[in-house]
Amino acid sequence: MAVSRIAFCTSNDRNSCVTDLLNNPAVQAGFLPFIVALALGLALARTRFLALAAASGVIVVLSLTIGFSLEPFTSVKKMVAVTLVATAIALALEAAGIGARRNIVAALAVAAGAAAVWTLQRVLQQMESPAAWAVAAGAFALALATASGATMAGSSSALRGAVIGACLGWGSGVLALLGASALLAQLGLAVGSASAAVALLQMLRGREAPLGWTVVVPAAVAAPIIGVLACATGELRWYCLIPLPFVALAALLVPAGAFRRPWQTAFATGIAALVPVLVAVGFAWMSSSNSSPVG
Amino acid sequence: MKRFAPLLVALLLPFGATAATETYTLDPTHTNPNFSVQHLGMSTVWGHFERATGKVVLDRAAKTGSVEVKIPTTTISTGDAKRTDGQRSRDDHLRSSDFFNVAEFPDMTFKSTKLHFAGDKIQSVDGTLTLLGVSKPITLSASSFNCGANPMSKKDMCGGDLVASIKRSDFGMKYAVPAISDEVKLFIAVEGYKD
Repeated sequence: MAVSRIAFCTSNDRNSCVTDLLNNPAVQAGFLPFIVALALGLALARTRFLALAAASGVIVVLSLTIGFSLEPFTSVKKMVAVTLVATAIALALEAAGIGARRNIVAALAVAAGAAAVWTLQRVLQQMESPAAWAVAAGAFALALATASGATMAGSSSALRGAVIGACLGWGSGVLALLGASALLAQLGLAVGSASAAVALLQMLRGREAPLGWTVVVPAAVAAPIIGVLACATGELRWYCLIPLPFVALAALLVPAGAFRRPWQTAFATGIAALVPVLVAVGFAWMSSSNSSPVG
Repeated sequence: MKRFAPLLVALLLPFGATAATETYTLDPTHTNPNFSVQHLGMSTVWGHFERATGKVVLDRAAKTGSVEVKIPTTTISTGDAKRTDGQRSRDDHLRSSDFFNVAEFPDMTFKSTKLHFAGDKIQSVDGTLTLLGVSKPITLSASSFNCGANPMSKKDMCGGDLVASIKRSDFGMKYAVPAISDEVKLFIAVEGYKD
């Protein structure tokens, strides 16, 4: 008890300690989304609805930071809305027994691209026309490529999907942090942590979830939009986002049956998928030699 | 002639009213919106915006008028614009979507709805502050407000200090509350020359 007090807070008031803990950005974006997703994942392990556990991270961060009010309907709130709507669509597809057919994935990817542009709408309105078109086209292409690649790569394996989701979420979170936007960073890291919890669940159970091809959808939709917003509303350079679509391709380098045990597959897939993430973070780091935003 | 007198008065009245209304265009170099906010419950961070524009319209005889101020949030400065150690500055962070979200909302505006006078001087201004696309009523107290001729240029001018306290969360700026206090104090110095 004494140890935990020293670790988490110095106050003797238990309520104050809990408040301090809940106000800690690392707890908000990492620990709690992971725990909540783990609990939800346990409850949903035998269903097709694991995407709900992966998306729960966003809800945890919202509830602990800016709340659920839609006013003002900023680009960050639009991003959250898009992620939740994409998750709802994914769950509906799973409930209807619709698999990862090419036309379904293509439609999801085009919708993700259009949603990225819609999210940026107010930022684009402040720009000169040529720049606005270039930013809109870039956002559309990035979201399309990332969402289609990640959904295709994750469609044959729920474990791979969860690992890709973790890498995309964490990657976009770190990029946003380097772009001087802490809330976007928290949202990205939370999606990553929740996806990691879904992956861990499968590793602990010793077998992949046989259902749930859409587990990657929340991260596949959220990560590119977080990256684009970190560029448009923060200080991140656009070229730092180029490696994001390659996360799914790198994950495919590890075949689904390459290892006997799920944790081995997850570990190898994670290492492969983290390479493009590290390249992106390296670009961001070099572009500004920065670290975190300050309050 | 007597028959036409009321008509003549009615026709001339609006000109009389117009003559009493004076419009002052704010001088951006002497219109300084400042703010202060508590940091971690310990110290106070001060910041300001630059190049604010607007108008003050006054009819001191009728004790009416209006105040409009447009503040470009992109110009925010808290004395930490660029760091030599390569870290993102506090001003970068304040411009991001965590706080002023300047890429989406480049301006903050105040438009008065009613002026309160003490004698012929403005005492307080009721109005609407629009920040992050959210409009809320606030009252600015005038700690001083004077009109007169500029001693050098002899131009007619008015100026004053307007003070208010707002809750940033009312405008959707909820990030890092309460570590960075919800209450923000505004100190807006305005100075304008008669058109």
